[in-house]
Parts: sequence; C-alpha cells; structure tokens
Amino acid sequence: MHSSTSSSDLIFCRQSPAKPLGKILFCAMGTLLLTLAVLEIHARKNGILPTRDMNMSFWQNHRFKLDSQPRDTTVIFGASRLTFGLDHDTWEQMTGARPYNLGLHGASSLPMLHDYATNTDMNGIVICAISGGFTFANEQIPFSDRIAKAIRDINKNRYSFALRSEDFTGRALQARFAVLNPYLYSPTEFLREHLRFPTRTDERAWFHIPFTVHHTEENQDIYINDLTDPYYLDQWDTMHQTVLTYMERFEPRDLNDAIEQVIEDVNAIESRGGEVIFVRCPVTRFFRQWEAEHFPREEYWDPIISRTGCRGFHYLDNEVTKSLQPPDGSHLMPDEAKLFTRELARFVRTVD
Amino acid sequence: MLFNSVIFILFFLIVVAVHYLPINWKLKKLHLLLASYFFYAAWNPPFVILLWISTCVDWFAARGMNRVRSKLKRKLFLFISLTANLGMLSWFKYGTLFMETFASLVEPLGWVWVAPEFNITLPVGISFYTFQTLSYTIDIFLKRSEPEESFLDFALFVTFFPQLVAGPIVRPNQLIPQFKSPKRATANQFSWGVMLFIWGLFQKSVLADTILGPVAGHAFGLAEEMLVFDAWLATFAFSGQIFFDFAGYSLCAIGIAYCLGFSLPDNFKSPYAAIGFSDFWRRWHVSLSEWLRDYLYIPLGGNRKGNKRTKINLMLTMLLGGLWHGAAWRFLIWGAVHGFYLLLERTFFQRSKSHSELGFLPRLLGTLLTYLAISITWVFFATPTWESCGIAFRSLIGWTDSPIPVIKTIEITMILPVILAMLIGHWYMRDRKLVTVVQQLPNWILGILLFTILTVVVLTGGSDSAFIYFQF
Repeated sequence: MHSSTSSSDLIFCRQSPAKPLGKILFCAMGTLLLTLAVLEIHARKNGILPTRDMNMSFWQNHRFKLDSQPRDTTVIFGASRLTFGLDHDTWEQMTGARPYNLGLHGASSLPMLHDYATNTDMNGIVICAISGGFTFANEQIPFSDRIAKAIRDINKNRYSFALRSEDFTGRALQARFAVLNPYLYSPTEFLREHLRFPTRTDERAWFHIPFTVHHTEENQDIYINDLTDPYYLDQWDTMHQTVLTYMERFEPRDLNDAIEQVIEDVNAIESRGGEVIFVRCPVTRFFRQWEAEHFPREEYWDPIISRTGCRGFHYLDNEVTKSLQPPDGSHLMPDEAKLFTRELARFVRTVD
Repeated sequence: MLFNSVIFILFFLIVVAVHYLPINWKLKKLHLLLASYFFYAAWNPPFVILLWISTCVDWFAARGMNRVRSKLKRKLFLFISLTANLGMLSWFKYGTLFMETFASLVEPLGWVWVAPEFNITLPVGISFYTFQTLSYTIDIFLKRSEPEESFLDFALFVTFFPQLVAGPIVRPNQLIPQFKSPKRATANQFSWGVMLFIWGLFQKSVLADTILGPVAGHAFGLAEEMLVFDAWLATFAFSGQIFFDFAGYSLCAIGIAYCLGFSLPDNFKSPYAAIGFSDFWRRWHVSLSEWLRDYLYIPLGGNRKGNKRTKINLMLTMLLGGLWHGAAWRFLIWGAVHGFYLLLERTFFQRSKSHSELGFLPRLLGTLLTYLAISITWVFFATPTWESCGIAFRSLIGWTDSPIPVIKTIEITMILPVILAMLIGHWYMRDRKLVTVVQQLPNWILGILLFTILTVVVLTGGSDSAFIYFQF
C-alpha cells in the first residue's frame, strides 16, 4: 500500500503455455473416465452400493419433498439413532406403507416436530425420537444450531435453485455410481484407513474417522463399516466421547419451555387428525451411563409422555428391545434394526 | 451455485455452448448478462434486485456526474452512489452487529434496548460487487475515466458471473474494454482455462475442505485448551485452508473467464513467500489491496502528508479492510494487528535493502517470520467467538491448565506435508509465473499431473462446503 500509482491502468491479457494443451486435457479426461469405470466395476464386484452423502442440503431437499407426500404419511423425526435404527423395508412389511425418515445425524427432533406442526397440514403418524443429549441440546452448540437454522430458513431455501439442484445431481450421480462415495476411493480416506495410528491420551477429535456409512436415497443408514474391528471402534468411541464432553459444557435447553412447546405442537397435529408417538432408542456402554446421569428418564421422558398425553415407546419397556446391543453403544446394526423396527411397528399398530 | 458443484459444471457447459454459437456479439453479451443473473439468483432469487439497484444507481449517478459542471452537484451524485451501495452493504452485512453493539453500549447507562431480530441474510458476494461498482463511480468523480456508453457492457461489468461473488474485484478499465469486441478463446486458451479451473477446484475441495479445514474447524471450534503443538498446527492448518479456499476460488474464476475469452487479473501471488507485510499485501488478495490503496489510502493522503499522517492513513485503511472481511469486532482487531505490523515495518525496515539484494538466509528467515506473524493473525478469523479466540491464543503460548490433544495423529501426518509443500511451492513460485513453469514441464508429466489432480478431485468430492470468502 505504499505506492501512489495504480497498477490496474493497463488491460490485463492472460497468456497460455504454448503446448498441445487440448490433447493433454483430452488424454487426462479419457484416462479419468476409464479409471472411474474400472473402480466402479471393482466396487460392484465387492458388493458395495452407491450411497448419498448425508449433508444439510440432502436433508433440506428431503424435507421439501415431504410437502408432496400424502397427508397421512408416517414421518420420522430424530437423530442418527433413527436413521440407523429404523429399517424401512421391515416397517413397510409391518404397516403396509413406507415411512418418511427425516432423521439427521446429531440433530434435535424438537425443531423438526415444530416445523411439521406449523409448516405442514399433514395428519399422519409422527414418530419422534427423544434422545436425551441431542433432543435437549443447547441451541448454541453448532451441530444443534444447524437444524434450527435449516428449518428457520426453510421458506427462503425452498426457492434456492442451487440447493434444489443438488438433489437432482445427487440422484443422477451419487445414487447411481458407487465410485462417487467419498469414503470409498478417496486418497485421503485411503491414508486414514491404512495409516492406523493409535489415539493419543485424552484425545478429543471427531472429524474424519475412517468409516463407511451406507446412506440411501430415502435417508436411511444401513450400516457403519465393520465395528468389530478394534481400530474402528476406538476411533468411533473417541468421536462420541468428544461430542458428549463438549455437550457437557452447555446447559441443556429449559425442560419446561421445551415441553410446553412440544405440547403446543402435539395439540396442533392432533387437532387435524394426526398422532405423535415418542420413541427412545436403545443405548448401551458409556451412552447409557451418560444419559442416565445427564438426562434421566424420570426427568426427560416420563414428564413428556404424561404431560402431552401421547404414547411412548421406550426400549427398556419392551422385552425384545431392552436386550438389543448397539455395538458402538448408540447405533443399531442391520439385523437389530429390523428387530427394533418390528417391535416399534407392532406398538404403533396397536394404536391404530 | 458453487464452483465445486455438479450443477455449476452443467451450467457452465450450457453457457460455453451458447457463447460459441455463431450469433452476434451483442446477443452473446446479453446471454452472459442473463446467465450471470441466473447464477446469482440460484442462491436466493430476490437478491438479484440488489444487483439491479447497484447497477442502475451507479449508471445514472455516473452519467449525472459527467453532465453537471458544479462540483457540489458532482458530489451529490457521488453521495447518492455511496449511500445506495454502502447503505445496502451496511444493512445486510453490519446491521445486526451495529444494533447489538449499540444495545451493549447503552446497557451500562441503564437503558435496556433489545435489538430487533430481523434474521438478516447476507447476500452472497455483496462486499465484492459493491466495491467493484463503487470503483466505477469514484473513477468518474475523480475524472479518471468517462462514463460507459453501453448500459449492457456496464451491467455485465457489475454482474460478470465468474468473479461476481468472490472476486477478483475488477476495475472498469480492466473489464469493460474487453466487452467491446467479440471474445472467444482458442482451443489452447480454452484448455488452459479448464486446467486453471481444475487446479483451483483441487485447492478448494481437496486441500482446503478435506485435509486442512476440518482439523482447523474442529480445533478452534472446540474451544478447549490445546497442547501447544496442536494449537500451532491448527493455526498453520487454517493459514493453508484460507489460502487454498480463496486462491482456489480465484483460480476457478480466472479459468472460467479465460474459457470464455476474458482475462481476469491474478489475485494471489504466492503470498506466504512474502518478505515483510507490505510485500504480503502485494501478494494476498491483490485486487482488494489495490482497491483499498487506490480508493481509501491515497484519497486519505497516502504517504504524501508526512510520517504521522501516513501512519494514521495506514491504520485506518487496515481497520476498514479488516471490517470489510466480516461483521464482527474480531475482524477489526485483525485489521488493527495488520496495521500495526505495517507501521512496525515502516518504522524499522523502511530503508533496509530491497528483497533481491538480500542473501538466501536472510530472505528465508524473513519469509518464515512473516508467515509466522501472518498465521497468528488468522486466529481471529478461525475462532468463532472471543472466548475461543482467547483460548486459542493461550494455547499457542502454553498458558493453559489442562491442555488436550485435539488433532488426530493421522491428520498430523497429512497436514504437515501439505503445509510444507505450500511453503516450498510459494517460495519457488515467488518470482515465477504459473504459465512459465507449466511451459517448461514435459507434456507427459503435465498429463500425469492433470490426471492425478482430476482423479483426486472426483474421488474426494462429496463436500457441500461454501467458499469461506463468500461470507465476506
């Protein structure tokens, strides 16, 4: 900033290298396509399916599509425990219709319920997960704030072509080609997978654990890759413990205010013929201890059921689900998800 | 519409196809203008109105300014332009900050005022196109140039989609003359444009978003006391992230424009090879530095009004430059620290040898010290709150009670080589141009490099991260 003259008086004219750049580009792109084809065949031969990337734009687009579903569609709200824990095929076998799953990893179901009550006129069954930590998480926590923000901006985002088009391209590419799963052949993930360094003492980190989640077009998580591998499990545990420790620094949402809001939302849904059913998903290991300590059932489950008058499915009240053992402590694997879904669907059917 | 999204590639292919149809130049420009409006509206359609307001106000203000002779009337037209542009910028970008600050200032006086919740959404790129269009009216006010005759060319100058939302901030005399005659890239130029775009995407999607960003974001967002090693590594990771994010975007913009036959100026010139802070600002976000120099620092008097006034001008320029980056007082402090650096340099090193006269070791030492000092200032950018900012600084100097490791070992093994490669790359490219270096590469090596970068970009994919500089 010391010069007193402008350097932008001359029209800039960019040069390009004097090389056969077109041929080089053509060869590079051709080889890329060939490589992708080989990798796709390799993935399919190994039974790997295409998977959608689970991000906010995916969730928002999924939410927009709710508006075009039949009014009486069964809708699922919750965090990852319900995207993993609810098997859509089993649900359809049991109830005759596929559910619409709006679960989002690390999200509170309460803003979703409020959005459903106020921004839709739907009147089907609502399965709303109460997960303790995430459900009542302080909105200052970034991963808690993102769902509230997404819902707050829902009408603005509805007209965002950039956002809406991501669904189109996702369906056209990610949902069709396994090679585009970023966890599969990405060189950075390859390094993370093969350089297995141990966790440092007291480490708190949650990004980039080497895992593969299979996530479908319907917003259903089918599996986490190989939790029988001690390395994966250790990485997974570090991530979860980091989240739990982080959340302890924030006061939870005011319980009374939260329940008042839930009552208002439930009344709105019931007044148009809908029904809300609360669900508590199975947890084990340090999750059970943490939730019992910070979000005990007597304070964070029973009052919701009694004050809203809704029915609740708590996994500990069911003979089958109380013995389910999520291997990481929080997420059911495919076989157990089927069992859980069957029991939940039975419970819901008795309401009908 | 992000450059790193599939839909942008589709959009761009359509734009290129129409641009190379055998139709007249005016129609092609009209098509580019409409495509640019569509590109901007893709985020949030109503905000296109802001672009129209900016375009119309500055078009008429400039013509009015040129028509009248009275200095007072000229000033009135300039005032209209400044008020309209800076008014919109202030409202959308700084409205909430000003209201909250006002509320906190009057609270100790016993006046409890709660700032109304407007839920203001920041229009993407407003800081960039506001500065770009302001340069047009200010140039005409200062009689540096004449008003543009063609409304179409002027509207396209304000809206040209490759650099609309995150620069480079282009001056009227850099871009408008390029609209005067038909532009088309040769096959070689087109291929070079695509290569620049791919190299930019690699910097953004792979280096910034996949390797460096998550680590820096986690370490600073956690707001926990970190080990000194982790704190420094996170700081260096952010220095790399913000560079690759923004330089990557600029390169994409330059490549896209070049494919259409237009030349945009370089925005980054190996900034981490800078020796000293004024050298840094000649290399980092060059189009903003030059804008601030030409439209703020020099009009304030520059270095022509004595030493004391020069220092004040420098500090004011850096403070406003800081605030330009974001609606938080941390950005103002960031600007102040950079202003302080420049003052120190001006005081102690003004008469020292030029960089080319220095030996290898002094140059290396100067570069590393500059990088270190610059990296520390990025902490103001990287931390989301004052609390996390304080914790980060305390962690950097080891003033902590129970620090913890927050970066995984595997991430350390990836970050360190990337940072090291970035610094060596900047050092090597300090006085070189990319085009010259590529020219010297054997074709087969260029082909392998291009294939590798392309493959890594495609296989890494999957990110929906917006560019950091979009928020500025």
